[in-house]
Amino acid sequence: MNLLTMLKTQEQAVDKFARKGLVEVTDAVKHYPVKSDFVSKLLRKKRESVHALDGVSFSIYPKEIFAVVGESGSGKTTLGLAVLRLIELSSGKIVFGGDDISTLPENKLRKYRTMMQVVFQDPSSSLDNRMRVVDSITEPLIASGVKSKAERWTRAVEVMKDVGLDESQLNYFPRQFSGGQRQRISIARAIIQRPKFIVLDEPTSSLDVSIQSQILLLLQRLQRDYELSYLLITHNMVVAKYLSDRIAVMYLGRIVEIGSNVDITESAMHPYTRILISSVLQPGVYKDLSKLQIKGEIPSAVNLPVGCRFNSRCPYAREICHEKDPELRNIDGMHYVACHFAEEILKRGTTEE
Amino acid sequence: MDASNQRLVEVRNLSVFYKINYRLIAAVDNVSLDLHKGKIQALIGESGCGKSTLGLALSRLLAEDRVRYSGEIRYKGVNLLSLSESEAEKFRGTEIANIFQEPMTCLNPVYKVGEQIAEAMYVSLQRRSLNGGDRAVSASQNDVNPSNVVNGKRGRMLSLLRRGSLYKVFSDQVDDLLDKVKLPDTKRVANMYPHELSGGMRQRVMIAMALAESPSLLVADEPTTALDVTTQAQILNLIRSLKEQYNMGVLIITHDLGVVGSVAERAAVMYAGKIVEEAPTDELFRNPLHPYTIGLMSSFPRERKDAFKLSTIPGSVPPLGSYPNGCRFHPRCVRAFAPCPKRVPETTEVSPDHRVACYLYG
Repeated sequence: MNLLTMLKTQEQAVDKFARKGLVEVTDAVKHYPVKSDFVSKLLRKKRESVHALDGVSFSIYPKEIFAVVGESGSGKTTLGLAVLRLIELSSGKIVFGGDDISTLPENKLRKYRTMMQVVFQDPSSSLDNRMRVVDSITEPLIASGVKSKAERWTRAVEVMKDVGLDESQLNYFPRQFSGGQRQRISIARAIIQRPKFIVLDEPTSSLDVSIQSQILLLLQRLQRDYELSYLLITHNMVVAKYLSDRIAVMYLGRIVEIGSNVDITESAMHPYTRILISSVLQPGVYKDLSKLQIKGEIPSAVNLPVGCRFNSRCPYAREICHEKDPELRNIDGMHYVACHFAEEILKRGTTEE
Repeated sequence: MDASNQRLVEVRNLSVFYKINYRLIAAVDNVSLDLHKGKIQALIGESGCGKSTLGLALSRLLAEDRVRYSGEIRYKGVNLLSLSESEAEKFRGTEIANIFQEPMTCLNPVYKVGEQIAEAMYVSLQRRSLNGGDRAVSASQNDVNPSNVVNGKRGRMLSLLRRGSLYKVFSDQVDDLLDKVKLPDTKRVANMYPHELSGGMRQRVMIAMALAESPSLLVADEPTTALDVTTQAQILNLIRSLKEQYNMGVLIITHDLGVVGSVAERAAVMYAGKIVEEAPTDELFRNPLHPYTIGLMSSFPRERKDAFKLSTIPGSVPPLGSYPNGCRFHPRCVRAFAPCPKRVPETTEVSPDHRVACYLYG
């Protein structure tokens, strides 16, 4: 008995350690200033800006697949680039493996760069058409100082096998591959340094259905084999549901709901999340599109709505939504939502459906 | 009503060949398909299967010096493929209209939206007066008389009128069209440039332009692929309701099986230039027969990741011109057997209205 409790506390201690985020983002803000014209400069008007990120905080735990879902213009890609410091935040903090990297100069950042990688949406534009595959794949190794050509070649052969390509294709050019194979090459390039963390920016959106599932399986297998953490950026709720452990839903530069996969996909409380889920069209499932409640499109990120940012499209919006911006508040466990009427919407939603 | 009366377009044994390096390569190979009035037909396939080529062939939009056709596309008793270019011009847009995936590349960035739609109206009136005149007259009764612009001083007017003034002539009809595609504040939208609109609004403008000529067939090639999910649902809903209003036939070309289920009455699955299965949508999803259709459906992720359940089709679509012999799907097919590599399977009707081209059901 004693031993058991001891083991248990130990387990909890380990667990607690493990729950320390690998990537922690606190209050990330990114504003892109809009070019102002001569007249407004003369009048000393306040410079307008695009609010791409407006106070986003979250952690990604080791070995976790964290999905960020949102429509175009929600700021999800900006977030992915900011986490890798491929763009600079206006303000906010990024901690990677316990170290604050948000203000590190480029030469000190290099050490962290090997541990974090990225796979972009369109492999035909993220691979250099004039470089042989082997050169594309091993370029990160050169950057991190692997001088021996033989070693780079063996590492390249290894990762080619990992992503299901043949080593005989190492000397080919990207144009000799199909879209799915090219995406495999960009994945190979991302994993060659054995990183801990990969940002996947819409990794399957430009692929055909049958290829998409192959890539999803590959990503899943690599995550398990190399104990990777993913930040999966996608507009596709189905992909997020399939692959991720936790999901954050973004709207106009803010996280409006965040929680475990089950929290979001089965008991979503924010009206926007519910609408995103209900707009998913599944093969073989007839959906009466005229009953969908969403109106309009995502508003401009320059002139943000007053109050809740979703109020212009929300079927449940009331007076308070036009006055007060709802805070991201805890519902239970890891489930947070930014909506004044979250509980009511959940109740109403489940009776309606 | 008899089904044959409702038939709008009959595609019979259509093949479309591209001339590549002095060879003729069939991108669409011996395809037969019926499109019905007031019905939405879906054409499903992965990239490179020939679905867009088929869509373009329907309105003869392919570069004719690099393309050869065989077979027939029958529309109102006319074989569209036998028409001369100038005769085909009269059908294009007026009878069969196309909308495409990326509306930004289809709209002219330097003209206001209203002007572009007005131009479509102008062209349509012009063509109608060429086609016989009677429809042009009826179209002209309800307004200031734009048909004067067309009939009286046609040609000269076009050079005199700048497009901006074309919108003034047709402003009522343009506003009406923008209203039909559910764009708010039509006067303001008509005076905007394409870059000022969002993706969804642009696609609505494209649809408005297509409707300007009240076509009887709308060919929509991946109309929602470039759009967000919530916008996608709105646009699909719009296409559905316009189909009812105009009693059009619609051909939706898509790679997204999800779109098909909620929109189309009938669906055909295409693989490497051939239609491999065709059925009413419900039937196709309930009882898919061709291994390719089954593979496509099961590679759609549904549930959570547990146990790597997602199944996939091995390999990828063969490139144009290097299609395998026999059934073109057999190298990727899990159920391929002896006859598959030898001869192309015939299309057989396994149950009423459900056709499949596979030896498993021959």
